[in-house]
Amino acid sequence: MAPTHKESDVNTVALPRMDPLPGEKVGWAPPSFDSVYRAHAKSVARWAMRLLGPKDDFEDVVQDVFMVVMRRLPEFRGDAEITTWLYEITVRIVQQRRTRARWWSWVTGQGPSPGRGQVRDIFPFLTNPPSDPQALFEARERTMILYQLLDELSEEQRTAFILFEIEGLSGEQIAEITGANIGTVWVRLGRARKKFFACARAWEERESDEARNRE
Amino acid sequence: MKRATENRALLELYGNAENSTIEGRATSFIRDALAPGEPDAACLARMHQRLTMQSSKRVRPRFALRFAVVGIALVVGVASVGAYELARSAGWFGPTLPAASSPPSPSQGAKKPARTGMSPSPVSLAEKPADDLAVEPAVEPPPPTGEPDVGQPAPAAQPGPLARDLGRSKRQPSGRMAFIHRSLDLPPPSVPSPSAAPVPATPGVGNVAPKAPASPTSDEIQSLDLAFRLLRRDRNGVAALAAFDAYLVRFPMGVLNQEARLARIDALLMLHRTDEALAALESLPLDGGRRMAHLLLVRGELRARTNCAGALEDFTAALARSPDATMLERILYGRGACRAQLGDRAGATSDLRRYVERFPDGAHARWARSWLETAPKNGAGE
Repeated sequence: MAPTHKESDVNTVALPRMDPLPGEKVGWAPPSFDSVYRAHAKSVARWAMRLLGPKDDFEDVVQDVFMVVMRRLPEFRGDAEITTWLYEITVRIVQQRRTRARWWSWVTGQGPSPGRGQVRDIFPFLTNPPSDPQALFEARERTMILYQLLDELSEEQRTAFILFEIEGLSGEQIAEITGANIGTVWVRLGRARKKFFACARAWEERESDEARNRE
Repeated sequence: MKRATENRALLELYGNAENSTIEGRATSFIRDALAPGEPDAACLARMHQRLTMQSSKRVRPRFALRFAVVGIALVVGVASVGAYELARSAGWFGPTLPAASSPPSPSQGAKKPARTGMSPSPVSLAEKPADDLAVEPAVEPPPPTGEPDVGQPAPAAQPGPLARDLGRSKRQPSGRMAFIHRSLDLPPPSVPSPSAAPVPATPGVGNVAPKAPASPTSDEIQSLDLAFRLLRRDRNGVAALAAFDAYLVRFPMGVLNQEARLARIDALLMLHRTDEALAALESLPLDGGRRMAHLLLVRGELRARTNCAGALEDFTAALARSPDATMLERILYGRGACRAQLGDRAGATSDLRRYVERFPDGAHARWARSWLETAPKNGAGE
């Protein structure tokens, strides 16, 4: 049996101590807010940017998420992974924000997402952006189009689509984060895909009509 | 087979650059999209400062505003109902009808199959406190088939967290509204029931969808759903493992076969059957499927007990997949400790130093600091 590490024996390297296995909460203590923020703020920001799309108010979302964390951290019992818990809060806050934005855009007559050429930066921070300016410009345009297509989906479908197709989460993880059962997740994904392809086709037809009109 | 592909992402199915179908062209937007990165330290510090400054300021005004809104709504509601009562008693809406003192006819009571299986009468509903009428499904609604093209109606509202937050739970009229309905001898409004209502649907009412005949896919999803509930909610590893095994035997080519095999590993870990879990992980192709980083990490931790060299590969591969903070903590510690075990002090120093900087309060921070202080000083190259 592999020896476990002893605190006093720091010069003798032992094999890594296994982290608590699922369901085992030996010596678990709720983390402090600062440690949660320090460890997870970057991830929450990235999720917010991904879920919001080409908007620059991810900082507001991160702030709202951690306001909720601040209030509810004393109640957190570690029944779920803290990452899942934070993801769930982030998804809910983004959905609420987007629902409010949809209502506002209906009232004002503007679209929920900015149009092409209206946003200077898709995301304030990027992972591995293309170095070539032309390639970067085209990638920005295609990202904007992607999010405009996603805006045609319902919020539940859009969330499931982004988490599965873009973020790479599993159906079970999405079910845990959104509070739906796994069957519902698959239904939403199926419908989201169908609608996504239909919207892409409609977009292509509009583009070709516009191109014909310009000629 | 179409069903087998539903578990795979669009990028895996249509991400090929030469794919000229509409699916391929649509998927290219996903493939070519920019990926958001992590904010820099200045941005994090700014957000933290705003949080600290506004945490006390923002809470109280929001509570006060909420109470004010609720209070105004209550006052307006009570005033409206009171005005209506006054107007009705004054005869503005025609002759006043006598209040019904007898229970309604059985046919009225039978029209409302409540989700909890009760058949409440309006009289009994009026006497119940509002909270008792909160709807909770007694049975999970039967999931629709896996075919998105069938065009079945969406399952009726399941009161998940979002639905509860938006207060969309269906309630029978209570209190004053029920009294008004009784007084005017009106039938209570029918409550739409989910398709999984345990009571049989009343013919002609149309408020309960007929139960779809069981299909292999709906059976499959129900079977797997039960297994997940045993594992995640009930934390019953023994029952969950049996359920996953039963699913895999019954649906060897099931759509969610991969999900079941992965969750089965969690059940084995819950039962501390680590050798079997490791064997199961070794047999799975970890080459780009779901939860890749997490699976590599778990396999690395299991391998580390006897094979640090193999574990190192897994930790490094997991690190390359942009893990979240929780996984990063485990990876840095696991890889650092393995490198120390194998004599790579420079690598161990680099990993453990990064661990301590990022997770100063982490589970292994104290050990990592002690090791860094006592290990011979070395270049901290990777």
